[in-house]
Amino acid sequence: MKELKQTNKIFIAGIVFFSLILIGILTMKKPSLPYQMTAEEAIQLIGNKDKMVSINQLSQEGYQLIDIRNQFEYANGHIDNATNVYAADLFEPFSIRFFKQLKKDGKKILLYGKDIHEASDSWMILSQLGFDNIYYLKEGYNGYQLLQAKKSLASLKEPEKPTLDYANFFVEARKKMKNAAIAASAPTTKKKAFTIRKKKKKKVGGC
Amino acid sequence: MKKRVLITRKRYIFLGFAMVAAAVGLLFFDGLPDATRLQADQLLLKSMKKGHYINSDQLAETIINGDPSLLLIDLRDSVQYAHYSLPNAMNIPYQKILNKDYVGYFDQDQFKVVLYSNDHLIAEQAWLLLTSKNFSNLYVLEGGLNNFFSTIIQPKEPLATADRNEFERYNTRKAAGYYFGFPMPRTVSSGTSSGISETGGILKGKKRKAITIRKKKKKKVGGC
Repeated sequence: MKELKQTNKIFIAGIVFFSLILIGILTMKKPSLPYQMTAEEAIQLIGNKDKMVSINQLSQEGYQLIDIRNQFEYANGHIDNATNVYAADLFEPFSIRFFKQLKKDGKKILLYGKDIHEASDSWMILSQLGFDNIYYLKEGYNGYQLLQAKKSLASLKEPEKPTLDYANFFVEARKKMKNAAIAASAPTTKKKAFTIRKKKKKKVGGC
Repeated sequence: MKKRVLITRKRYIFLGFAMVAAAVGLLFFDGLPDATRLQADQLLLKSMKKGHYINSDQLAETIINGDPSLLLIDLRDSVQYAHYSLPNAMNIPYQKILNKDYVGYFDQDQFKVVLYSNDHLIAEQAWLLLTSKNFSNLYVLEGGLNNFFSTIIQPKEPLATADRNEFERYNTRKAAGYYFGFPMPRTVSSGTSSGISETGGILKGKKRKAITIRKKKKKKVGGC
């Protein structure tokens, strides 16, 4: 009889144990937007040039343009046919539904901000959520404005391209400075012969 | 009596077995992929706050002051790193940031880690990935090395009409530029150099011009 009581206790403890595990699993927080990629896989997205779209390619393929700047900036001017989804609203249910619909239709989505940096974070997160049809604009809205004004895009920097030859920069700078110093010091070595004119004595005298 | 003992023993075995099975099940159940990562919407909000940007003036000051908690990480490839990098920077090409040899540099809270590349596109994207793994104390050099060079090492001289603060900032940047290896005119030659008179120390090397002072002749004053 004593042993039976003990087994009952163990049995109850076992049931409690299992139910705790079950409750734990059932109430586990599921992220509403789970990543479809591990962080290790997402490394290949960093600096990925295949997903950068240059502004010259814009008209060639049918991109659905998404302007991720805020509504005031959008109202001030935007690329033709762009839809405004402010970056902070990208994960609202309505925008996610919109993106899913576009993916279903087989359309390519092109994000743009004022420059490449503004769009890159949104692009990278959305790509990790499983949207493989998302691209981002290399020149941003600034580039579009330059094109509209018929100016060249040369003033925009190519992303991640060094602007200087860092290896030789300091050597060059030293050389340049030396030359400048020689040039500057050259004329001062010559002494100018001043001819001092004697002032004639003025005769100062009475009235 | 014997039979009962047997059943109870079997119950022990059954319970033990079930628990081991559950434990093994939990081992293989890793939930959703990357459930430990920061959620997408929170990550985007964090990046939009831009609290992780450090500009070149702040970085130059931190390096010059010799902050021991600063850890500079160059995310470019090893060739570019060999050509030039900031003093005491470590090279971890961005493809390798999650390698087990290197991830320890990011997954810590003792150092202030500053990531940089030529621009800040790669550094920003690497920051985003590392932050999504809940690593903290990570910063991005705004504008990257390109901007660091154009502001600290080759600062633009402010307009003559500019604010006094702007001139002060220019002088600070110029002085910082010498710290980072920009050649000082004094060390290059003893010749005069125009335009660098803004920085105080440089004037020492300047050659003095011999000024001949003309004596004024005394005017004879007279008359009534």
